[in-house]
This record gives sequence, structure tokens and C-alpha cells, in this order.
Amino acid sequence: MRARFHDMLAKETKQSSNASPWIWRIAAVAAIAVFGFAAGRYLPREQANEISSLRREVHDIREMFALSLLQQQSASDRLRGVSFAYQMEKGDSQLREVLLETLNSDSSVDVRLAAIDALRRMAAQPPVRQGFLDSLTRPQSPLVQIALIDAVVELNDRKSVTVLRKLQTISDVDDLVKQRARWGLDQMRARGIS
Amino acid sequence: MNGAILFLCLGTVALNAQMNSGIKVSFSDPERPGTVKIRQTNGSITIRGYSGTEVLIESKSLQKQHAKMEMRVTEEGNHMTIAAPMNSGIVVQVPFQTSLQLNAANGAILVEKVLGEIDVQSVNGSIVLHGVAGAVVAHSQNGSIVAIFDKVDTHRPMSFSSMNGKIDVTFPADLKAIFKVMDQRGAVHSDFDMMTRGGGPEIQFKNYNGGINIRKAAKKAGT
Repeated sequence: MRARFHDMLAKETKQSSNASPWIWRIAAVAAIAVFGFAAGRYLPREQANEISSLRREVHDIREMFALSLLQQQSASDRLRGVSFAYQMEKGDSQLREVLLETLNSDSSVDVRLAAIDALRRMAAQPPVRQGFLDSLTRPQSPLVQIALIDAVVELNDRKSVTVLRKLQTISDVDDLVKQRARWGLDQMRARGIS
Repeated sequence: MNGAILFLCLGTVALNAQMNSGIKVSFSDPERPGTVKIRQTNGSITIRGYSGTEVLIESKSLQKQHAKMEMRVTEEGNHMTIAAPMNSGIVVQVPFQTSLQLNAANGAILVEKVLGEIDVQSVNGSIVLHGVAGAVVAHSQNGSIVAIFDKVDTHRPMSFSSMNGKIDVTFPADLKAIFKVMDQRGAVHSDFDMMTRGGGPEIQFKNYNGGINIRKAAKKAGT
């Protein structure tokens, strides 16, 4: 009985190791993950520092990747760069500057719209707020201006009121944009900001 | 010295809306998919994919007075830029795998059977993409956007946006994608379940007034 069991076991092991090296890969990844977790918890401080510096390096690599995608010729690549930036930490100032530049000068309206979505997550930062307001009074695609109005209305900032009022006096600005600016001013007035 | 610049002065055009005989231009490396870039102020852009390796360009004047039409084509590193004559319609045949960057102010844009990436923008004209498969990034401020994908060959992100035009896009029924859809005032309709997160490319739809329609292609007979 026992001999047969060992036989079967041997056969089974041989089969599985032949059939799917994937299982071993998954096991290896799991082992590394468990080790990493344990290392983070129990290793002395120096090694823990090393891990945090590795983490920083991974962050830097992701940042570099996002930045390089944002410089590509292909609009789809730049969209991918924005979406990468969207997933990164909010406090990244280099990425913030590049996203603001994208908002103002990318040739694709679609990429500029995506950049606004990514920047809205960082709207607590004064340079982003200022960037939105500065961009709003520049010659821009009306669809981008409307997305910017929606973003600045959320800021609950008196400066937005000034800019939205100014927007209505610029003759080149599309009527729908002026209408949205009036809507924005009403929204803010209802919240006591005017 | 891999750059090539061609100045092409087309012969006298006396008749209204006469087609010129057409020009053939090669990519510097025809083995690799190239990119064609066209910017038009007044006039339409029509691009068709075909099985050849060269780019065939024809243009059609919209005015009688144009005694001479000048077209400028530059090519460097597989990037071809076509500067079409003012007030003319341009018809271009490109190899199937070509990528496109098209920009029009007032004319309509039509693309058929082009499988590369398509980056297309228009102010007042409509955009129609038929039988495409690559990543599309399309914007029309006031015109409509209609796109019909035969298949989706890519995991790259796409985006469709308009302020006043309707957006109507048909994808293969088995497409897995992450949809981000936003229309402030228009209606949104989708055959796809927006809540499922099946992975795949991120596809953004933004409209203000025009409405958004995302359709599943009907299954073809025999598949």
C-alpha cells in the first residue's frame, strides 16, 4: 500500500514538473513575496532602509516612464503617459509640471482633457490651481475650457470667481463656454463664494 | 541623409473640380509601417488603405480660379507630411498598416481600412472611420464622429471627444476595455456593460452636447 502511494506520488511529481513549469514560477513568485513581506517586518533597520530606497527607485522608474511617454509623437502613447501619471503619487512635482505643460500645449484635445482629469487629483496643490486658472483665459479648445471650468468650480476658491467673470468678457470665447462659466458662478454663489 | 523632399507642382487646372492624375511617394523604409500627416484648412481628407507599399496622392480643386495647384510632400524616417493645396479635397491611398495624423478645420475626414494608429482632429467637419483596428484618438469640436472597428488590434488607450457633435462608435462584441464616459448634457447609450472591469485598453469618451453611442457590432454570419 505504502509502496504504491510512493509510486503514485513520484509519477505525479514527475508529471507536474514536466507539464507546467508555470506552477514553479508561481511558487517562486509567492516565495519571494512572502520573503519580502517577512523581510520588511523583521529585518534590521539598514535592510529596511534598503527596501524603502528600492521602492523609491521603482517610483522613479515609473515616473521616468510616464515622462517619456508624455513626449511621444503618438497621441495614444501620450494618453498612456497621462494614465500612468494618474496612478502615481499626487505629490510628484516634476510630473505635475509636465502635466500642466501637456494641458497648455499638447496638440491633441483628447490628451489635454485626460491631463485635466489627472491634475484634478492634485488640485489641493497651489501650482495646479494656478495652472487651471491661467490656462482658462488662454486661447484653448472650448471643450477643454469647459472641463477647466468644472475643475475650478470644485476648488471653492475666490480666485476662480474673478477668472470666470473675466472669461465672460473675452470676445473670442465660445458662447457655450461663457454659459458654463455663468453656471459655475451660480454654483459657487450657492455655496457662499462670490 | 535619409531625408527626401519633393516639391510637386501640378499642371494647370482649367476646369472646375478636375482631378489631377496623382502622385506616388515611397516611404524611406517600405518594410516598416509609416506615418502620414495631413493638415487641411478648407477641404476634405479621404484616406483609404490598400495592399500596395507606396502612398498615392490625388487632389481636387474646389475653385475655378486655381490656375496652379501646388502640393508639397516631405518624407523623413518613414514620416510623410502632405501639405495639400488650399481649398482642395485630397484623396490618399496608403498601405494598410500606416498610421495617420489628420487635422482639418472645415472639411470632412473619411478613413477606410487603415489599420495603424489614427490621430484625427477637426473643428467643423465630421469624422468617419470605417474598418479601422488600431488605437484611435479623435476630436471634432462641432462635427460628428462615427467610427466602426472591424477588430481592435491594440492594448493602447483611445479617446473620442466632441463638444457639439454626436459620437457613435462600434466595437467588436467581444472587446474587453475599460470605458470612461462623460457627457454633460447629451444622452449616453452603450451596448457594453460599463461596470465590468475585464482589463484591456482604456477608452475615453467625452462630449458636452452631442450624445454618445457605443455599439457592439452585430456578429457576422458564419462566425
